[in-house]
Amino acid sequence: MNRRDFFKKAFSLAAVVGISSIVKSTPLLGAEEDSKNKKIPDLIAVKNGTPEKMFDKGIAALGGMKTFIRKGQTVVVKPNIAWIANPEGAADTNPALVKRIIEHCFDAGASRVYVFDHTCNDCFTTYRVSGIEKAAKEANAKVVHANKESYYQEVRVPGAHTLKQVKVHELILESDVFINVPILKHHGSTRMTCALKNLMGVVWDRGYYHRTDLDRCIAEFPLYRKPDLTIVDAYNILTDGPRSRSLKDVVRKGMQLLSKDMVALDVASSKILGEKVENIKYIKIGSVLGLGTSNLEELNIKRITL
Amino acid sequence: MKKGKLKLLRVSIEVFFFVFIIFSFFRFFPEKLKTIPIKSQIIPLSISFFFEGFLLSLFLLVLFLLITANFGRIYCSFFCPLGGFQDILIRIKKKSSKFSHHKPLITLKLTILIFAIISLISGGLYFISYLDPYSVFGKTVNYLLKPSIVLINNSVELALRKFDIYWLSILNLPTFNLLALAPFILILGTIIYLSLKRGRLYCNSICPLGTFLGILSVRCLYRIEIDKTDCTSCGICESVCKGECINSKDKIVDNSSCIRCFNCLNVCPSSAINYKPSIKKEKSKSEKTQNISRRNFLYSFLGILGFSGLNLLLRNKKTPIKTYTPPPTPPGSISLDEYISKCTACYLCINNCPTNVLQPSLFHYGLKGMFIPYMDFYSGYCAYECTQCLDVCPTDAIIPHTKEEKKKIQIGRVKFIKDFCVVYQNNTNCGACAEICPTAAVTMIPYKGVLRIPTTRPSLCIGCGACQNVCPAEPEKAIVVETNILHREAKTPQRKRARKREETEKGFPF
Repeated sequence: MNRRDFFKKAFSLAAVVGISSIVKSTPLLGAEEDSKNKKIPDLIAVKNGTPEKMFDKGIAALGGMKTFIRKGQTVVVKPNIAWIANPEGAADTNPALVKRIIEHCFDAGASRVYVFDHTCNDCFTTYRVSGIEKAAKEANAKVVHANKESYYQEVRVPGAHTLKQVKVHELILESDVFINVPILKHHGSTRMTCALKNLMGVVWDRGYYHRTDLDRCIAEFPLYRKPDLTIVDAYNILTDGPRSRSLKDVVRKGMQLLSKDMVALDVASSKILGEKVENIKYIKIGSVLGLGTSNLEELNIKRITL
Repeated sequence: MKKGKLKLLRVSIEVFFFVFIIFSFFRFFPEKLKTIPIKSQIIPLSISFFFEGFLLSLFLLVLFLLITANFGRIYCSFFCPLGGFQDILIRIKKKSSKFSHHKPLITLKLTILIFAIISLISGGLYFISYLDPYSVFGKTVNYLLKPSIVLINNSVELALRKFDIYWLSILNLPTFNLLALAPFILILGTIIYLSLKRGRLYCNSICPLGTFLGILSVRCLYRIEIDKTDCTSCGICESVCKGECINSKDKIVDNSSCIRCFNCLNVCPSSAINYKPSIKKEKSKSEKTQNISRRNFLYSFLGILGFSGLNLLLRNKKTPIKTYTPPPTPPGSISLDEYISKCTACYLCINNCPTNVLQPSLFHYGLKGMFIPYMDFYSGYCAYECTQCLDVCPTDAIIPHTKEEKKKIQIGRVKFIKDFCVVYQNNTNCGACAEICPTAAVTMIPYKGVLRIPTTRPSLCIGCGACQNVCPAEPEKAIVVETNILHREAKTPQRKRARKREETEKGFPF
């Protein structure tokens, strides 16, 4: 093959890949309307089952994973893997739930599924002890690290007041579908960590959040990109968190919430945790910024008890 | 064993330990295997035994000394990683240069040995840390080998990532400090220059361990000897001798300078050079030789005991650090003084630390503690569940403890400075310190409105420095760790109440 042939082939290949990726990412017209016609609920609350079974029921009630993922798309599943704690410690998302979500993603035709979190403790140990690395690899997902700045790229956050620019993990920029899988926990200063707060794990400089205005930064990040689906793991919840120091602080609630609306999820979660919504500043800021509905009465909630 | 196979045995053991020791400096290497290759290093074993009295160290030390007294300086070519490093350099240069016999530099050797012993007696290892071949090799791995491997790894990782392959992960580069690097570059430069010019001259002139083992093996049992009747003085053996200890003209081998590489055994065209016990001569002479070698060994052993005894008497003197409080020492090091008097700065702990809290020091621990690792809470914090540095330390400057014991060691105490705190200054939530605190020594209490501000309970603190590391306050940290010069035990937090583990309420709370 001479040089010209090589360039020709390389360019034609690049063109094919480029076109196919454009075709892939074109939204199917009318998908929104379909969901309204079938009256898919805004929020699903599931109770009394293992995390996997609750997810099976919950996602079915949302119309299945195919509502969110089209064939060939790439998916990021972002659990909470912040602290070195085994699954009983309830500081990190339940690994069995993460595994089941990945399986559903592949069933829906996802080409690749990535799992990562910017850990607070050492990332190798945290990934291992949390059980998520093993569970995700068993389900054929790619477990990616997020412990070095070179994984992050700077983006502008449109309409933000405080968090105007932020360094985001490159997979959030590149992937077609973003699934947020927080675990519900108490948090010492913001009072609760759940849907919105979990997104701190996709940015590099969390010191900026803490230094500048923690609640506001948390609420402003989704202005850059909202997760396509959020699944709240409220199976075991930590009542003195976010780091698990004692199993005595873990309470079994046996619940799971699914929605696209992170504000609604955080309001519902605060009620499960038993924390006043008024005390959690970022929920209010988020609802003012138009991220979602904080009044649960306006929403179509489906409650499933297994 | 046939004499031809001795070189093969030497090379295989040498390569095995060389690679094994380098692997110990990488975190991916299994923890339990890490300490094994370094148990072959004589100076760390001596320090571990003489200061902490570990019996395994004594056993291995006696074993190595007995081997030396009987077989010569086996350590220098079989186990010494710095020897391995020089042998690689010599091999690269081999084809163009040949060695020739030189008289041993006895005065230089002895001066450095005595100097090293005096520095040991005076209770500081700063001199040893740049002379002990293992510690020098550790620094070579830290400053030279590992950074190159890490750079290659990181660029391959970056390339693979472009193809969506996530097999590798980015590794940390060690931090470089010119001031700390200067003496290392000097020593390493000398070693590289000497090895390229004159083979193992470093081992036969500067290395105090080489000199010491050389004295032990002056009258060793197994010797390299030239059969005077068969030898034709062709000089081939002399030209391959890295120790420059074969005098082929006079047919004499200086066994105390011989590093037992066994290169000479295979090259002799008339098989006149041999490695065998020197008993075959007159009986009375052989007995005498043996007696002397045994006595020789005993004296040196008593000598070390005496020196270390003196050292023990002298080392209780306080290290003078008056200018500012030093940073904390790693958990398990008991106290600043003990730590300084046992660390040889091999940087094995620095390379195995998952959080990079351990960094080479400059003047943090005074002149006596120069270059040994210190805890830098600006670059990392001590991970609660981790006992890496305690497990790997070859000199027991950081004494092993179980994970539960380590979690109770208080190396410093937390101090909160409200004036610098983000919550106080900006009236916004933060709590970074409280969320990362592993022991609840820092917790959040109600402040204005829904805001919460940190509060501390120093008695619960272990001084891990996580709070200081994450505190986002600028330019001054609002929460810092104050050093315990002598480590203490942290208290366990009392739980107020046990919560109901399971909640059986019906329906949903919304």
